[in-house]
Amino acid sequence: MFWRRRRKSEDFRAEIEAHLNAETDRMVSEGRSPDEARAAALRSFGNVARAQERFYESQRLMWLDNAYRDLRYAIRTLFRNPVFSVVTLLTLAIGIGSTTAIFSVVYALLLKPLPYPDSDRLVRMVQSSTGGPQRVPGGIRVQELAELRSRMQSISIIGVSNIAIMTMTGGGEASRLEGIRISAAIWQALGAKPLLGRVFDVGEDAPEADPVIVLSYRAWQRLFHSDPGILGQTLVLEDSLLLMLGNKLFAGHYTVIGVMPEEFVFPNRQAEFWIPIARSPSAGGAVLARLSDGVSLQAASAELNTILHELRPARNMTFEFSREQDEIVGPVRRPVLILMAAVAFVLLIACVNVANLLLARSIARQREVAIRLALGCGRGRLLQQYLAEASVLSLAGGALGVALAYGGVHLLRSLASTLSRMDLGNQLPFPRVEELGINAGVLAFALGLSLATSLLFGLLPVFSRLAGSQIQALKVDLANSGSGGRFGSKAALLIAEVALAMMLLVGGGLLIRSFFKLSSVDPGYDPANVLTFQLALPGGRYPVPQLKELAENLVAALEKSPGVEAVAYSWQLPMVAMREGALFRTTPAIPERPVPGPAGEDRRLVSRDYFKTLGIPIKEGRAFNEHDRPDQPRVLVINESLARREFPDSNPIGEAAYLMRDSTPWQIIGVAQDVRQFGFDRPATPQVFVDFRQWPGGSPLGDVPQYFAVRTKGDAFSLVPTVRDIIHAIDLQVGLYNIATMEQIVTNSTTRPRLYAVLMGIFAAVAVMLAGIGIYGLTAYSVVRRTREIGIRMALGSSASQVRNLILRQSMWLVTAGIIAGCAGAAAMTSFLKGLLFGIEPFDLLTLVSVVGLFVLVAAAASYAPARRATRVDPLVALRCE
Amino acid sequence: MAKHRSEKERIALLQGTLDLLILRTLVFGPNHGQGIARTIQQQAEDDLLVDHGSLYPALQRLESRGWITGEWGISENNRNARFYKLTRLGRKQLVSETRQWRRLATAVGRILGPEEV
Repeated sequence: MFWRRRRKSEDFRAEIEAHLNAETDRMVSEGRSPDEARAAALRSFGNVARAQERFYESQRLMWLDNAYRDLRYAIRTLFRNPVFSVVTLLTLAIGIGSTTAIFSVVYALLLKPLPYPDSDRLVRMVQSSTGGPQRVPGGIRVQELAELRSRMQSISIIGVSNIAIMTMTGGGEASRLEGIRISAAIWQALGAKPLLGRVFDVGEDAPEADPVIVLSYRAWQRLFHSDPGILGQTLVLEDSLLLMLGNKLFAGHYTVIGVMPEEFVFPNRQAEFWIPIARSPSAGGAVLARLSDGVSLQAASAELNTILHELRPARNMTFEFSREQDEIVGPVRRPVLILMAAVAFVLLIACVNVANLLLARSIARQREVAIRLALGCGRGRLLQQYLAEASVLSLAGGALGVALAYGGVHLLRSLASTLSRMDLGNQLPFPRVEELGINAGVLAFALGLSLATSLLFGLLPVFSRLAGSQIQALKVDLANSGSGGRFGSKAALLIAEVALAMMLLVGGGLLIRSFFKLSSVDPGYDPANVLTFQLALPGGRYPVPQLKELAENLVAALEKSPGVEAVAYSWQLPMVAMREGALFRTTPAIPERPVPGPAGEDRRLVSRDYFKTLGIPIKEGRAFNEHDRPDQPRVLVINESLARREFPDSNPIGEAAYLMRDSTPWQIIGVAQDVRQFGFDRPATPQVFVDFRQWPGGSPLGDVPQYFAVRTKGDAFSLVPTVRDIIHAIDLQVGLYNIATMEQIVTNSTTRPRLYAVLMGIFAAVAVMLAGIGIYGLTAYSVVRRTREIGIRMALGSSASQVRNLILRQSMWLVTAGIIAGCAGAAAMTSFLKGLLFGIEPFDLLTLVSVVGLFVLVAAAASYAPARRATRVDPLVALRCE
Repeated sequence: MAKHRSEKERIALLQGTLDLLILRTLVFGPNHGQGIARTIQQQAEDDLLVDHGSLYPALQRLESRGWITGEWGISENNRNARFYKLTRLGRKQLVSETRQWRRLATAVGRILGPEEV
């Protein structure tokens, strides 16, 4: 009967009135006086008000009614105290907003499954316990793949993939595409559905099959302007690797058979196309598989190792399967969790602040509460009202917080976005950053968070209010209550707040200092004003000799351009994650076991002005010059690390050295400064530099100009049109790609530490600000509470400075307690930061001392104003105030 | 919450009787609140004292359940009064409640045994 119109209580009241009149009439007719009759009628009716109340209650859901009333009351109260409300709302908005923003990262990276069906069964083969910062993916050969596919029970699908870099030619300007070769099985493993056309099947993944290609949405947009007619067209793609290997079959005519949807990403956003792996020049690749139903990772790994040991009896290497998602987010999992913890601290501090504010305000309302309790108001109702107020605050704060989180996510995306290039190493980009956003899951989190915070800070004051005795509350007076337990609970909250803020400040301080240390590392070269780029060219027309000629012509033309200081080309640039062996030695004999790994020397083929262009100082001897032609004596430049390793006690200049499997000597003519080749956080490794002109071409790889670098007088980017014009003047079919300044590449390499430092810095700053507000609030409150005491002290002759010190001393005691607790907490916590720090230890005295100093300053500033206010207390007024 | 429920149960027991008597009274035709109270009191030969204060909430409850409908009219002595009328649903309810009450009364009577002097 809910839809029926409601009877008004006035109507009910009228009915009762009619009843009373009728009864009075009846009794008057029985001979009583009208007054007497009316009184008797009322008497026999009983409590009119109660009947009306019962009617009222029967008409509605009481709790909803109460909630509505509490809500209105809460909103009115908030509007009556605008300063309190604004401070509280902002505090909550910052707490909820930053937590929501970071949670969106946690959600996108760690909680949201990968965008493939049953993605938790998708596994990758990795080498067991390599212990490095990045896990080494396990590779297998194609024959082994067939063996694994037929014998393994614990996996249902298995495939391999490796990188393919292609140049699209055939008419206009050549362009470069980075993509992936995959087994047809991988489509199956990923459960991929194309947007247009289809993906390739096992029959097409064979060496003799006609080449086919599936395009990414991005490539479809970039190169073909989203033309649906692309299906069935043929693209001429040249395989860069085959070209460099001198393979005549480097070019292929690939038929476009499908376009993937925008949200399809494999293995990362950089991949622009997928082609069958059967035509791959290399023999195998990284392994992706799908676990059979009900099989554990351990069981599958054990089976894998058993079969692999049979296949490769000589090699004693163990592998394991790891979930694809874990492999993708692995490098950032811990930092993200640390950020989440940090932001939870910020939220806790915000809650403590709001609780303290509410607590202070509830003191002003304690008489109202006591009176209501005395009049029979249920404690439950009182609790409900407090919670309504807290919910209004926290939901409004949450709404503001979500707005803030939108901004935060924007900031995060821009901080985490990196150059989209495969050549800079896969540990650099932040995974899944494009999936960051405010979505239903994140919004639900924000709502839950708002309600949880309202419970947290709403109940704190309630319990401390309700615990007190009513009688006492009735008698209690704001000014003359002693320093009792209630101040104690506020003080404990403040100490906790200061301690949390201290921990954040220590963590933030460490990460910021570590980032500055990292940024101030001398890279060994000067990245300012250097433009770098690569050339996309039709390989058929540019075999190695012609390519070198093109490079020389380009250098000569660029050198003449205004604004150019030096031009060079090389096989690699600093930060490019590639390594070439050199077999450097001082005797002609070829070593049986070359120096392995990072300590092994790295061969760099460069052009004449390489050192000048990149700003690498020559420490001894000279750099290459125009006389180092092919017909001249062969010369080498080595770096300091190699010089230290090979010539610890002597001058290497003029010494003979041997490279590769070649017994013709080279002469060392110079020592170049060490360069941080693989990132600022990696130590410099031994390097040997050879001029392109003198390289005999002993190895098929590493013999072609790959990267071009131009040192400019002004802004490096402004040179791009000039470079393009010069290139097109030489050949219209040559295109530019991977255009970036050296500074961009360097900045890109510190994306993650910068992100961590900026976020932790923001959190620490917010925490300190909130703690400052908390200290200010508590001190101000304590001054008001002690007005009478201060008045007496001043009347008895205390000086203003004595009073001020009294107040300052009290707040500094609390802050000191908080700082000590915070240092203890930080000491316990900083070990988690260890892997994220560069150049400093988790226990860094300088950071700790400056953080404590900063905190003492903030606390002093926050309590100084209320302390000064205390000195202006007029003793007469103070004593008179009740 | 727990407190509320126990109160409701107690009320239901007492009011159940009152509800039944109200429905029964209305079988003889529409009547207003005071008239219902008087009729019950007279028919019970004043053994029952109808609490006027709980009569009106009871009427309201019966109306909201759709067993009776109320409408303002003019009483026999020319005063405004709200007249209640039994609905079809109310009649059905009366039959079933009467049967239940009789069974209950018989059962309780059997247990209590013959009236003692």
